[in-house]
Amino acid sequence: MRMMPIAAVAVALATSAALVQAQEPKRVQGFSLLLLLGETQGATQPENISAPARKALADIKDFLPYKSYRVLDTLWVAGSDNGNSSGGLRGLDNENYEFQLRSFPRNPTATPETPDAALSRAQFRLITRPATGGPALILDNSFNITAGETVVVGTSRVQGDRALVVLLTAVAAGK
Amino acid sequence: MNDDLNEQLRAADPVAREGGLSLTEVEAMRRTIVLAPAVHGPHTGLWPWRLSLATALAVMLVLGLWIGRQFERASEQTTQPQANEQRQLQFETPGGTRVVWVLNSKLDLPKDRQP
Repeated sequence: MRMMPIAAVAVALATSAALVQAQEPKRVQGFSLLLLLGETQGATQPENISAPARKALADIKDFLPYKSYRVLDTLWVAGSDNGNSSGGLRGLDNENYEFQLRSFPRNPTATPETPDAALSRAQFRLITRPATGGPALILDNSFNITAGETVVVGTSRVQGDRALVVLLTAVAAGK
Repeated sequence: MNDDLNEQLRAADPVAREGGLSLTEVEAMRRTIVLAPAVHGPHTGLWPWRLSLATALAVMLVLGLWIGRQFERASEQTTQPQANEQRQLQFETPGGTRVVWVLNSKLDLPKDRQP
C-alpha cells in the first residue's frame, strides 16, 4: 500500500519534467549541409545520410521529377539561432561553391533561451566562382526554419534533367 | 488720239528739261549708298538671333526624339521577359518538409565527369 503514493509521486514528477522539457525552446547548435545532384535518370539513392535528410528526400520524391540523388559534399557548420555562418562546398567536377548562411530568431531582441529567441528564419546563399568570369549567385533564398527542421533548397532549369539540391538541417542542441 | 496724249505728256514733263545730276551729286549719292549698310547694319543684328532660335529648335527636336526612343526601349524591356529570369517556389510537402525551389533558365551545371 505504501508503494502506491510513491509511484504516483514518481509518475507526477516524470510527467511534469517531460512537460517542462517539451515547453523549453530548442536551441540550434549548428547546421548540417548536404549538397546533392538530382537527376531524372537512374535510381541511385544516397547512402550514409542522416535520418532527417533521408526523410526530406522521401518527402520530396513525389513533388520533384528527380529519380536519383548523389551526394556531392557534406558539411557541418557550428551556428546558433541568431548568427552568420559561411564556408565552402565542393560541387560537380570539383567546382567550388561558397555559401553564406544567416539565421534569425523570432525576435532579435528577445532574451536568450526564451521561445522568442528561437530560430525562426534563415537566409541561404550559394555562390560559385568559376575560373573564367566573375562570381555567380546560384541561390539566394530566405525561408522559415526551426530547430530540428530540414529544408530543401534547390535549383534547376525549367524541365531540366539535373538539379543542384541543398538539404539544410538546423540541428538542435542536445541531439 | 493716244499719240497726241503721249506727245503732250512728254512736252509737259519738267524732267526732260533738267540737265541731270552733277558729278558732285552723283558722287554724294554713291557714297550714301555704299556707306548705308555699314552705318545702319540692318541684318547683322538679326542673324545671330535667328541662328540661336534655329539651333535651340533643332536641339529640342533631337532631344525630344531621343527621349521618345528611350521610353520605347524602357517599355520594351519591361514587357519582354528577361532571358535570365528566375522564379522561386516555396511549398511544404504533406510530410512537413519545406521546399524552396528556384527555376533558373540560365543555370549551367558543369559537365559530370565523375563515374
